[in-house]
Amino acid sequence: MARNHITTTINGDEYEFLCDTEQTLLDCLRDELFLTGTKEGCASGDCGACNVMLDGQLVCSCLVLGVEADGKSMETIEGMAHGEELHPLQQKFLELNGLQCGICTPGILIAAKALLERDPDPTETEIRYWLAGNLCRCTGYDKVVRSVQAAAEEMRKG
Amino acid sequence: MSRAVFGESVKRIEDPELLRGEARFIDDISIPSMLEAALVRSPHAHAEIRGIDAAAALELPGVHAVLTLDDLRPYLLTEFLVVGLPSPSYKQERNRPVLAGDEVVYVGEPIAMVIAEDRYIAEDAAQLVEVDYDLLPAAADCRDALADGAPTVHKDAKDNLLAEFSMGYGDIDAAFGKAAHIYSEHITQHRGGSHSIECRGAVAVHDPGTDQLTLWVSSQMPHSTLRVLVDMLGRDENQMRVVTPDIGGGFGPKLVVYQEDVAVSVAAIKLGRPVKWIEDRREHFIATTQERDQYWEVEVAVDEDARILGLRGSIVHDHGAYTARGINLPQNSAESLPGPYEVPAFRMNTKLALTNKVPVTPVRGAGHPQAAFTIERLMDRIARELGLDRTEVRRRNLIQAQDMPYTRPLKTRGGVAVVLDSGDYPRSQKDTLERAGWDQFPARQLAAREEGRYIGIGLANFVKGTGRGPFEQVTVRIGTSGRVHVYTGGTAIGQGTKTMLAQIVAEQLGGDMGNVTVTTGDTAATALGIGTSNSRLAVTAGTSAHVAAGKVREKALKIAAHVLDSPVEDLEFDGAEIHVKDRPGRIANVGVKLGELAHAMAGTPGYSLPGGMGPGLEATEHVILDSKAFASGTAVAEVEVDIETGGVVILNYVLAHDCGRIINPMLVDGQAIGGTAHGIGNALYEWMGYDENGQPLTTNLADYLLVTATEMPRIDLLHHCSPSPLNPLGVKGVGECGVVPAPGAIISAVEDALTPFGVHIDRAPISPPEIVALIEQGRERS
Amino acid sequence: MEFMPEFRTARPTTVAEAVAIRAAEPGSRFLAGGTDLIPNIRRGIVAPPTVIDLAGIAEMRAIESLDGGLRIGAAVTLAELANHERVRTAYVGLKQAAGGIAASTHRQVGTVGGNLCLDTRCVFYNQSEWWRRANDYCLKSKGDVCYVAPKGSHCFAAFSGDLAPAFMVLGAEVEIASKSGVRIVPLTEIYQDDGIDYLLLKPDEMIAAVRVPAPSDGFRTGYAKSHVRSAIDFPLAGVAVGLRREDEAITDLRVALTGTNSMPLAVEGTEGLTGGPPNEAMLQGLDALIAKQIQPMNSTFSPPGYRRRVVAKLTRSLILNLYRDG
Repeated sequence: MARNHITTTINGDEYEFLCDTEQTLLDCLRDELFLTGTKEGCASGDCGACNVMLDGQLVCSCLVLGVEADGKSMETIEGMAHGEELHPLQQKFLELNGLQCGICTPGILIAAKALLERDPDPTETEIRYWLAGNLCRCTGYDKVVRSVQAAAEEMRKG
Repeated sequence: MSRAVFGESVKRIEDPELLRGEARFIDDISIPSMLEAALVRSPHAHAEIRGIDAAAALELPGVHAVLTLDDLRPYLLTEFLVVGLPSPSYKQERNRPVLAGDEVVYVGEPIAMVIAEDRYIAEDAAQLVEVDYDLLPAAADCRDALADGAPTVHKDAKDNLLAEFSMGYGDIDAAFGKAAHIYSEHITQHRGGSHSIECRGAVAVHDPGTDQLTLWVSSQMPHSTLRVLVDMLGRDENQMRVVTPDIGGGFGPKLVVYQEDVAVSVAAIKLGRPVKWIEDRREHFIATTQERDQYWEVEVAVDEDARILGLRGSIVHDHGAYTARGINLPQNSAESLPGPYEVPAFRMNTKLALTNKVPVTPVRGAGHPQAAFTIERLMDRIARELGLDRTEVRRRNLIQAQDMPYTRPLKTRGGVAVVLDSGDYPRSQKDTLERAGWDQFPARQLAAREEGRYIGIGLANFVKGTGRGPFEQVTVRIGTSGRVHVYTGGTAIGQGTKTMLAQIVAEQLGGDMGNVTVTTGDTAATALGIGTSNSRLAVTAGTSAHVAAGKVREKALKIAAHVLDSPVEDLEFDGAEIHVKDRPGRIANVGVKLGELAHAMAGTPGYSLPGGMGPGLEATEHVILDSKAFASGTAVAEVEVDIETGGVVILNYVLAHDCGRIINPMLVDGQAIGGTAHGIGNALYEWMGYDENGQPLTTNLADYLLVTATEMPRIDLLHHCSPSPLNPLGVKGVGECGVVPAPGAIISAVEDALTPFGVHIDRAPISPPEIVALIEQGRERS
Repeated sequence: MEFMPEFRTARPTTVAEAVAIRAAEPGSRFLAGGTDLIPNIRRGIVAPPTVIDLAGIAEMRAIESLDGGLRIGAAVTLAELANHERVRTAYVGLKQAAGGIAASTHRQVGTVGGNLCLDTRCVFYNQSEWWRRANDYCLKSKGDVCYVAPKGSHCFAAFSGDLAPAFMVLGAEVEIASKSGVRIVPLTEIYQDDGIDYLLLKPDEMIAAVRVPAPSDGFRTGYAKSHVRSAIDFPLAGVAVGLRREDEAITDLRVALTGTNSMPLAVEGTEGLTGGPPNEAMLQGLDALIAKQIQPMNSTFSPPGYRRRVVAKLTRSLILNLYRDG
């Protein structure tokens, strides 16, 4: 079967790639574009390790087909920092140890960023419910939530 | 001045790459010409294999090989992974074959490895491999498996008893003979998985030119993997290197050497191409080891004052189908049952039952959570029977601080005496109760009942042996760049090992964390290594790092003294330099860079080394620490139970823990809270279901419930510090501590909430439907 | 990585085009958010030769006012629905249902149409292809036996979409598009209690939109569900209630359920319970109605008796809360 030609914008850069119809966006990012920051944890939408932004929507990239990304724009973990300058979320995760093994971290950072873009001042409960789709086996979520709260405060200060 | 970093919440040196998505986990490794593997696994818990037909699979374009045991044999000295820890108690030797031969004994057991251009093709081909099975009866439940006439897990076995051992001390019969009261309990803890968010994986590369094999593997114990490869492949250590990339969580099962690790290695040699295998979540549920199924029958003898006189009973431990680690789990369980309490007489008999299920090996806590749950259930029972507060019964039985170190007349699996090295258990309980508002709880409970709400409070004390020896190798080296390099046989699996070691080393070598790099889990970097398990690295690797760094420091100062022509006492480390201290009469800040010292000690042809000292600026240490350092603590949980739905919400959770001197409070908090989350899962959510034929039922993360951010309460942590006298840093391990008391405290709280219904809970996890059923039973009884 | 079979995709830009493709390609499936379909394809539960991606159909993505009520395009996402101003204020039960589905990630892409058509679920069905093959498949997919009720020839997989009951108590209708045009039917009429053929849509039909009538004075709605974890889980059972209180009397009462049968169930006979306050006799009467009409089976790890119990409990507390607040 002929492969599909996909044109997308990822983290502001234009990308073209070929993919099979049945390849998920996660597989395309990792295997076709070598953007391996996005992780597979379950491949069934239960863990959130593969979260990316697709046209402004937070998605599990394991539940999206690569062909669905055609003509759309994406944000992945690789685009979160501006050069040397970490995003405030990354900075707070660093300062407050919001990660341990780090495999779920890209997904959590993307999900948290999506939250703060919608709601710059979420309550702790709102943060916890927003991140209910992001499994972490290391941290018990405590420092994850604290890091998101601290980043929100930082970002509100501008 | 050198900055103090030991004991500080310094930022982790691991994090920048992880936060940017630049870290390299096993699945992020891609090598030119690499092939990918998929496994053909047994769909049956027990069957004979009559034949394997790979013809259709091999015809699929892009398929390079379908390897069965017969294909691997020419490359192997033995087809078995012989990894069992030594013990005289084995009745059967049950080692895993690298791929199944003529029999499969658990669902998920690997039978053939399909290797293709990519994983998609490999998966498609794996579906086309036809295996002809002759089904055999399976033993799924470990208690049933030990019954007369039960189906045997292995067709050549006469029964399913893998091992049996007893341990104890004191005159147990006398203790029970003079008891005022004897209470017995049947306690169950069900199995769960580790579920690191990264599953397992391995990438093998063989260079035919040099005949070098490199295996990247997501493992807690790469040196063990290397030793198994040496044994099985008959190759020398120097022909192989096992390396761990960044590891996305371990939690126990990654300490095991797996069949796939060996098969991938052989495949790379046989095919002359790099081969990668990445476990998916479905496979993780069936092919990665699990833990916790144990059935306890215990009896406690107490005097009139609720003081324990004796403790006896038996454990049936589900061992799974093979020995992938050993007798260690039930050994830990039985050995740790007395916990923090004085138990004058003790006797436990333990049977390890083979079952047709994936092998059982440590998951965070390794046998300790079951024991803690059991003893804490007994404590609650004594309190209820004697009408005493649950805290009072415990208080009367806790080992006192002045009795430390406290020798318990038991031996570990390695024959080392069990000595509780330090701790103040009564204080731990007292402080935790205070913080949790235990004494005020009855008023809260009454107020809630008036609103029709059922809240309860529970507690559990624990001790956890950590830092299992005998050693961990650490090399500290100052390079000619002036940077400090640390190499250890320990493995970083997310617990902050690199930061922890960098802190210990930086403390003595200039205090600049940014000047320290740490290499973990690489057999080319350290000749010896044990790896990550049993909350051991801070104790073992930490101590070796401390001693090695001290030696390097001493030598660096001596050389600097020579170079600067100044007595050692006048010198100090400052970042990547040593210079003369600022004091009257000296020219301050005249210094020498560490890189210059390393250059000097690297030697120059034809010139003597400065100061007549030996070459290099490095030290390698393997400090021997046979005795475990016992961490301890107390958990108090306050919960609300919805008596209609059986739903449990944790309202408050206080954990006091004592891991001796703390190297990095921020990392310790993370470990304690993360462990607690795992323990909450074991108490309320994580249930790994199997049917009566040994078929796993919960095989995805929608059915097997991991705790999410919405179930986790904020954990209120209390840090106590009883330095361990066993190591120069005074540290103890913490990685597993949080998990150990959690089920005991939570179940105690649930039971307390349901006192009006007379509910008694003897198992974990407990689900909402089970809670509702217990309430119903209670209502019927009354 | 699990097995992902090959398929083609089609990307229509109009509803008419979409249903034409659907009619022309037997076995094809519509793809919206993908949160249900993609795992099911990956698990080999469905193997459509063609997947019809609805993302390009702008007309399906709008929420519009219609006769004082709303017309909600089937491709409106759950998050858009839950956050829509009118929904939040005038259709509280709908907001609660939409806002509580799965996790935030899924609600960003999961759609109204997708949730209404959510495949029925069962512990013997929502398993990997590999697992199902090992266990000789089940009646719902490729097999001969329903392991929930091995003696029968009926599939008892449970419907667990949250939106359907919330829409039902509002008296919602659906616009069903096909090659022959659009028909409008009450939502209750597109389901039947069969785990396999739970949807009464013809092969070339598609839900294009849902119509919700104007909120009537004093009619209040609520939705509550039972799950083990606080979020993300599929509901073990879910209850939507709509009621109107006039003085002390309930004058209109509607109850609809999910998770209890192979279809969302609009409880019949509730009109007979109106006319008075929600006293114990009325609530017991309702319990009896529900008990008779629901049929939870061993299709989840929570036993049927438990799900019966929580349905009754959730219904009671919803009614009492809505009554109190009304």
